[in-house]
Amino acid sequence: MLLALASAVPGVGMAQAIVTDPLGNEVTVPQPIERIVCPYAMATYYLYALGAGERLVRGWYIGVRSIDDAPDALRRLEPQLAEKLSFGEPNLEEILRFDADVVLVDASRHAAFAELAAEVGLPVLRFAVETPEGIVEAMRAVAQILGEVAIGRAEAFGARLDAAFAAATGANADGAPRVLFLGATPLLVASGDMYQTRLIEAAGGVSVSAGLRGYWAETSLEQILVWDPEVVVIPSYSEVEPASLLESPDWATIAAVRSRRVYKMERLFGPWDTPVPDSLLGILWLAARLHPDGVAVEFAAEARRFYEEVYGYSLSAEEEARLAAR
Amino acid sequence: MTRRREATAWLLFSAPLALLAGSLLIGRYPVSLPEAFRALFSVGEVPDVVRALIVRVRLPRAIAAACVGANLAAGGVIFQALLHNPLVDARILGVSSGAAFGAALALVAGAGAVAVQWSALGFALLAVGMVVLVGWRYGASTLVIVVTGILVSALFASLLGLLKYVADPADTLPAITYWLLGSLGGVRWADLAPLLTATLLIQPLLLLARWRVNLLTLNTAEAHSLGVPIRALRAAALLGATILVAASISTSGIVGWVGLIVPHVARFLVGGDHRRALPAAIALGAGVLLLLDGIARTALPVELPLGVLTGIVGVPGFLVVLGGVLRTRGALR
Amino acid sequence: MSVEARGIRFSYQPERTVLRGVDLLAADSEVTFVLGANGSGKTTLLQILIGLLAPQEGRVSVDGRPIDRLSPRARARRIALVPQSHPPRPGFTVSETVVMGRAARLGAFSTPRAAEWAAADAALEALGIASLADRSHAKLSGGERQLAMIARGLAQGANTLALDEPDAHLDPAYQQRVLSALARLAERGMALLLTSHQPNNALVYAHSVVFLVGGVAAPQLAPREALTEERLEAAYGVSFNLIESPAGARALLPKRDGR
Repeated sequence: MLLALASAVPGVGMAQAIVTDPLGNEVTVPQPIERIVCPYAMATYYLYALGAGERLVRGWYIGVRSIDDAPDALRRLEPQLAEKLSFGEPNLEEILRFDADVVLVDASRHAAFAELAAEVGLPVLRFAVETPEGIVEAMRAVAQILGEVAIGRAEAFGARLDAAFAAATGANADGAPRVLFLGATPLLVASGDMYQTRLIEAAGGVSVSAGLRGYWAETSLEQILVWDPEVVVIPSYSEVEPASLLESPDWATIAAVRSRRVYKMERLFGPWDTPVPDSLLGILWLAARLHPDGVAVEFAAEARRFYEEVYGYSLSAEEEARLAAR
Repeated sequence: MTRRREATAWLLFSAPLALLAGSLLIGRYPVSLPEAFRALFSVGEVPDVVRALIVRVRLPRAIAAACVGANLAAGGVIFQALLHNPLVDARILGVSSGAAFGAALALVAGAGAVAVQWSALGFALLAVGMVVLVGWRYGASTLVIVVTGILVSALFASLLGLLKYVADPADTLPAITYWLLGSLGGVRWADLAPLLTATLLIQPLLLLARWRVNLLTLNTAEAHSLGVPIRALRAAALLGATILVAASISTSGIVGWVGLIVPHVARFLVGGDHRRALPAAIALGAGVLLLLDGIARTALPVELPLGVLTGIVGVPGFLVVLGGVLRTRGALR
Repeated sequence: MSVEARGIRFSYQPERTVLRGVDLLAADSEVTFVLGANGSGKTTLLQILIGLLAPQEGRVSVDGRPIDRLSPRARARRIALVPQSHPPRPGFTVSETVVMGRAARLGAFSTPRAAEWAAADAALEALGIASLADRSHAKLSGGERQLAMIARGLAQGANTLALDEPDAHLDPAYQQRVLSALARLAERGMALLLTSHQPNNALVYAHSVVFLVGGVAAPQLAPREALTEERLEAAYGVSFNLIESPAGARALLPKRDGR
């Protein structure tokens, strides 16, 4: 990734830099970057993690369509959430109105928008993050345009992720348990192509539904009985509660239910099973549950350190307790 | 022509032009009339952003909206005459299912926007081609054609479902979904080649032959008696209308209801003779879509899918039309 | 200038032969009635006469020219068919419907001009419905629609008009309007050929009558000779009484229970 300071453009009086986005496109952006619009919902969180939250003018936040959907912690992290919150398809003219210096977009979903932005000379960085490692790459790419402090934080995050991988895989001695990752409803499961499968692998497990293709897949109770997962994981945005599975006679024979290893992820800012920085915690959280004897991680302390150092956010006692609960 | 007729005609033909010009002035980004004028005609000083916005963003989009609206409406008029049924539009023969499949295929293969367009166009024509071939084999009566159209649509819908199943959930699948909702967001000059070619090639021919469209409403025996080469006429009409609609859908995605309802409104305003109804429908279609697309990109800070807007207006509109058709038929039985 | 059929044999399928050698001449300035039971092949015969169906054997000539040698446009300018059913056409005026008859005289990209509209008006005039010109076609009565359809056929400018049961579904008043209009056209030199289920109309208006029985056309005769009780019974399978009034008017009444 190059950071080449081109000479200030005569007559315009603004410095520029040529950077490379994660998809390999060279983009000329003004320097310094003061106003960012971020339709790529993952990257919104990268900005906060890089300490550039104040430079965000309009952002898309995962799973948040209106201010009422927003988790309390997010509202505390971003006091101006009500003004900055956006959703749906990005409108070029609206973004132009905000005098954006750069726009961060989804490489395929916003492809047409990116082309159009090029027509009016609006710089666009394209992203397509599908793995935990991809988060680090993306953060580095964004940090390029934000300055040295941000670059430092991106590197720090990279190191932190490596450490998390080490901690998680170090416990694999006792084999990889079979994990079932559910979706919004009890019979919706994550297929092999999805980010959730990467998480499970990183945490030292194997996804029973890895053979499925596509998006969330509707499966049957019978298939789940065949898979007989040892651990069931439910994401934070699901309507399923562990209690409903633990008490259900249909699920009673499944290994995970018999050993009561049904867990629901918590959420502070972004869901831990999406490619946001918080998913690093997701890896640790999952590893601790897959290998309770192997993983030497004091989760509460990890979580506190994570949010403090990555987001500059202090967990309240109540939040800490909630995140670390079993 | 009576006074009222003349006034209606004037209104119908000047409105789309006014709306086209007006489209250049509306949008989330504030542009004043003098600025727009300067940008459009390259006179005077205007900020680069404004000039690019007017000439490279709003203008191609407005032209696309006008063409798509005009083509869908013309397609609806032709198909309603061809199939002797006022409650159909071009989609009944599988044009949009084929296009949707073609677009999704290209998206899954990771192709660029241009390839997506041509793939959509190609499969749309293929779908109609299949209907015509099967229809030819089995007698080409209206019933056979319509049933075959339904079957071909269903086939491509299933194939589309399969594509969605294997599509990458993170990026390709949302792209497919968005394409299906119909939108003119992101349209640039480079994207307009198929649409402009089809429109400029076929619409003039259609307008010149507009009286002949009346003859499509005859049955085979009547047409034979009148010395009308009905088979050739039907084939030409089908081909022309399909190309117009396929080119439009490949540019804008699935935009429904315009082809169904605009012909009715046009006939209501100027009568059923296609000498007037066809140009009226074309003008009305262009105007309606310019209006709705203007709303899609201006009403909210985000882009509204155009297909959703046409649906919201179209469904109640369809009920009104249905009531009218039933009343007309009922009164005469 | 007329239409002539010689030796027409026609089958829809090998087992279903409808016409077994029909000879027919519809001459200029004459009204020719074709009578026959339901299913005797009257409509089929008319469709063969305008070239919509091709007979397995036999020839049709219009104005002395074989019909299969004429282009559709040339044929349409010589012979016109007025079909049996004519559904209402919402959205079109009567003029607009009638002017469609000029299709064979217009190019692919032309719209009708003054000459065509004039021809349409003349056709409406000839049938006595000029006042209906701007009325919506969908709002006409059945009888008015029949007259409008004949006007469309007339607008084709052909010298021969073939009509499929033009007197069906009409009240006596409209039947007379239609038939007397046709008679007037014959007086102007046109050849009129029509099928009918009304022998009495044939008695009044026909110059020449043909019966279609068993797929064969009985010899073409003047009404007096053709319309006898025997021939009618052979054609319809029902007995008739031929009544003659003192003034010389004749009528055929079906016998009820043999009376």
